[in-house]
Formats: sequence, C-alpha cells, structure tokens
Amino acid sequence: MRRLLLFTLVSGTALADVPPDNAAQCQGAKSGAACTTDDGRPGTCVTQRVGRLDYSEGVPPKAIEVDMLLCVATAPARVTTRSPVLAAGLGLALVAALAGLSVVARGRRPRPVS
Amino acid sequence: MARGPFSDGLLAPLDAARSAALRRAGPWLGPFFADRDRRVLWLGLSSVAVAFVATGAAPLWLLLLGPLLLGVPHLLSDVRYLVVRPGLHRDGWLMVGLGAPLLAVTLGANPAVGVLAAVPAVLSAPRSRRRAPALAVAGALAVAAWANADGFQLIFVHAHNLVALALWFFLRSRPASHAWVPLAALAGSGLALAGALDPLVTRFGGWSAPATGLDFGELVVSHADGLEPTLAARAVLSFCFLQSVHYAVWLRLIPEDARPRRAPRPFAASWRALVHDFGAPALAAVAALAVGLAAWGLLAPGPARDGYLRLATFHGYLELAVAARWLSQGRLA
Repeated sequence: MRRLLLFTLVSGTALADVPPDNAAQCQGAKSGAACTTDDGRPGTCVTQRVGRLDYSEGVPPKAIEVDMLLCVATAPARVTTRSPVLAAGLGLALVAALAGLSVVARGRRPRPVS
Repeated sequence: MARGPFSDGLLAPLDAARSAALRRAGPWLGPFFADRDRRVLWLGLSSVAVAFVATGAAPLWLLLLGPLLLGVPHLLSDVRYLVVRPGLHRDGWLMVGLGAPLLAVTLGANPAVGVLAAVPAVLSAPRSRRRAPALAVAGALAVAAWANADGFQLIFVHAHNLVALALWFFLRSRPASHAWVPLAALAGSGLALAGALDPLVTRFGGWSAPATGLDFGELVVSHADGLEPTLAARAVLSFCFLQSVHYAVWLRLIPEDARPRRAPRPFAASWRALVHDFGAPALAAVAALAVGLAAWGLLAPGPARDGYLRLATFHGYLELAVAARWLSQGRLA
C-alpha cells in the first residue's frame, strides 16, 4: 500500500490526501458498506481509531488518534503472482525499441539553444 | 510575427507603464538591471530570497498556489526551452522516442520508463566521447528506478527542482558570479533542513491552513516518508522552497538568458516571440488549460492540485533527458 501511495504522490494522485492502509476504499462510504482490501479480499468498512502525526502546532508533531473508516477483510486473500521474466522482457524490449528509434534519428542535428 | 489585438491592446499599455516606471527608477535600478548578466544575477538571488521568506510565511499556501497558478506556464517554458528552441521537435523519430516514455510515465508506468527518455535524447545528439558516460548514467538511474521505484521517486521529486537550476546554469557561458544563485538555493535548502524556517512558520501560523486542503502530516508521508518526524517536516519545507525556485528558474531566469536580445524585452515582443514558437492555437489551448486549472482550484483546491501534478509528471523526466543530452554534448562541464 505504501508503495502505491508513494507512486501516486509522484504521479500526482492523492498527493494531499494520503490515507492509511485499507482506507481509500472506504473514502466517502458509510460504515458497513462492502469494500475490497488492499490485498484483494472482500471486506466491510468499519470505523477504527488510527494514529497520525499532527503538525498543526509545529515541530515536533503530536501523536493523535482519529476515527477513520477502514476496510476490514471478511474472507481469505486471493493469491496472485507476477512474472518477473515477463516484466524484464518488456523492459528490455522497450529499451531496444527506443535505441532503435534513436539510431534512426541520429543523423539529424538540432539547432542549439539561442 | 504580426501584431495583434492582444499585444497591441493589452500589452502595449503595460509596456508603456513599465517603461515609465523604469525611467523613474532608472537612477537606482539601472546599474542592476540594464546589463543582462547583472539583471539575471539579481533576479536569481531575489527569487531565492522571496521563495525562502514565502516558504517560512505560508508553506501550505505556496504548495497549493504555486502549482495551480505557475504550474502550466512553467511546463510551457519547460517544453519551449528544452524542445522547441533547440529544434528537437523537428526530429519526428526523436519526438516519438522521447514522447512515448514520457507519456507512459505520466500515465503511471514505472519511473524507469521515464528515465529511459534519456536514451533517444542522447543517441540523437551528435556522436561524442561523452555519449557512453551519459548513457551509463541514464542506465544506472533507470536500473535504480526499476529496483526501487518508491525510493527513486521520493528522491526524484526533490532532486528535479535542482536539475532545473543546473540546466539554467549551463544554458550558456556566464560569469562566475552567477554561481551564487544555485549556491543560495542549496544554502536555503540546507537552512530549511536544519530548522531555520521553523520559527518563521510558527510565527505566521503556517503549519496549518485548512482552506488549502493540505495537511503537513499527509505531505510528510508523501514527500519524506521514513524520516524522523521533525526532519521530515523540514524536508517538506525544503521541497516547498526549491519548488518555488524551480518555478522562478523556468519563468524568469531561463527566458532572460535564452533570448538573443540582452536588454529587457517589452511584453508585446515577448508575446510575439511566444506565438512564433508555439503558434496561436497551441497557446490558446495552454491558456485554456491554465485558466481551467485555476478555476478548478477555486472550486476544489486539493483535487485541482492533484490533477496538475498528474499532468506534470512528464516534465521532470524531460528535464532529466535533456540534462543527459547536454552531458553527452559536454555542456554540463
């Protein structure tokens, strides 16, 4: 989940609203609503106390607890697998494609910055 | 470029007002601004100073309004001086090679894909003995990004602000005194990390600004995850400061340095040069985007900022690709 949150930061999503694990699914939902946990299990939105740091009065921050709806699993996780070979193959293919395109374009010299 | 109602109707009076102000202030400001080298130095140093004070006074507002108001114009400048002015856009294959990974990373691909935009940027430059080192640097960064996307992005989001400073510094040969600008920026970042801004932020109540929709605790998670809490907050302040410097670089320093004319240029002439570079339809689209983003920001500031940041993902990797190209050409030396 943290990996996803950091990625969305830099790609611009949810930069100002980074929730804890299993919180995004219940954003805007009501307690008891059906949801899917971060690891893909079916669950239910349940109000829970979560800890966070409060910087509103400066540093060092104060540790506080707030109520938040979190998705709590009601069934076992589904097992998913990734293929590292496929990922590496796609990466190498992309590098090769880019290099090939650039070699074709190599002879054309651009105008320098004025 | 032909004159038009915008340049003659709106900008001509502004030019007249600026000329009158400069004539009045001439005896005092003339020594600082008549010469381009001196003007750029003072613009750079004053931009760094303003960014530092503004970060201390209202960091959350700066983090909100900077992207919403200056974000799109700075992206336009980014593309103008990195792609259009050097003529890279005339090379169709290069545009495909650059554009594909930049588009992919903007749509959510692994950051390593964005880094790989440096490969066509380097290979399309004239062959030189620096090509291999430049490709090696790009390759090493791509491997690092692939191995640890989170860590790479966290560092990149801070470091790309400095890449712009480096691109500006090596844009042309310049007096040694201009090194004070990046040194001042580095010093400001160091001071922020050391806690020098903490009392100022506290004095102005800058740690909290509910109207912005931004929260320091959340920004700490997104910008400085894993650091000790106080240092993490200071890292957010450093980011805020360097982001403001980044905007100043693209919107003031690089345009000053990149134009052929050494004297200050009238607004109308600057507008005509911009139309010449992009064409009126493209500029109209960008203007609509900028106005639309600002309007969105009035209605929903947080989502509008998120939307801009999503759109702007490509530009950091574009800067990195051009930096690699310049490295291969010996310009970063």
